[in-house]
Amino acid sequence: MAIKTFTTGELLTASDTNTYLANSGLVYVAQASPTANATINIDSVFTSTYRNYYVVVRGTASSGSAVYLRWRATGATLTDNIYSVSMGNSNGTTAFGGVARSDQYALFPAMYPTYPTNVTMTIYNPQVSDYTSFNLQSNYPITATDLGQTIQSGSNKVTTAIDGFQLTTAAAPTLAITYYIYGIRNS
Amino acid sequence: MTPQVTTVNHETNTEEVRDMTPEELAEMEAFDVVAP
Repeated sequence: MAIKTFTTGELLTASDTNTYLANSGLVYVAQASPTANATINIDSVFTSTYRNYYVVVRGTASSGSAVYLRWRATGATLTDNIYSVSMGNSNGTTAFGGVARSDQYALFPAMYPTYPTNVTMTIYNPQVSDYTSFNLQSNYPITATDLGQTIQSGSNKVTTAIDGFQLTTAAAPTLAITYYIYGIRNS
Repeated sequence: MTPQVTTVNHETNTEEVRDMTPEELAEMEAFDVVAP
C-alpha cells in the first residue's frame, strides 16, 4: 500500500513512519555539483529499482552555449544512438519552434553565464528493454530581461539499458551544474 | 588549454577530471551545432 489514511485517535507508530514515509512518490537517488568542465558525465544513477526517473538540473556556462545530452552505459558514452528532439522556444519577445535531429545527441536547454538555466526532466525506461526517452521543460535567462524557455522531448532508437547521462558542449565553454535525481516509485 | 571532462560515478562516490581525448575533441567539433 503506497499510502494510509489515519483516523482520529489512531496511533502513529515507528513502523508506520518507516513504511509510509518510505513510500513517497519520489525517492532521492543522487545529487552533486561536479567540477565545472566542458563535458560532465553522470554515471551509475539509473538502476532497475525504478522504471522512470525525475531529474532537476541547474546550470550556467562560462559563455553562452548550446548544450547536448547523450546517454551513458557502464562508463561509456553511447554515440551510435539516434536521438530526436522536438522543441518549442520563446526568448521573451519571439516564439519559435522546430524539430532537431542528430545521430549524435539530443538538444538540452542552452546555458549562459550569470543567470542559471533550470531544467526538470523525466527519463523513461533507462534500465528496461525499451527505448529510453525523455521530456523536459526549462527556462534559461539569457540576460536579466531576456528569458528563454523550452519544452523538449527525445528518444533513442535502440533498447540499450543506460545507467547515466552526459551533458556536453561543442564550443567547449565550461558547464557548472548542480543536479538532483529521484526515482519514481513503481508501486 | 585542452577542454576537460568531469565524470561523477555515484556507485563509487568518486569524481574524475581528465583532459578530453583527441577523439572526443574531433567528435565535438563535428557536431552540427544548433544555436542556443
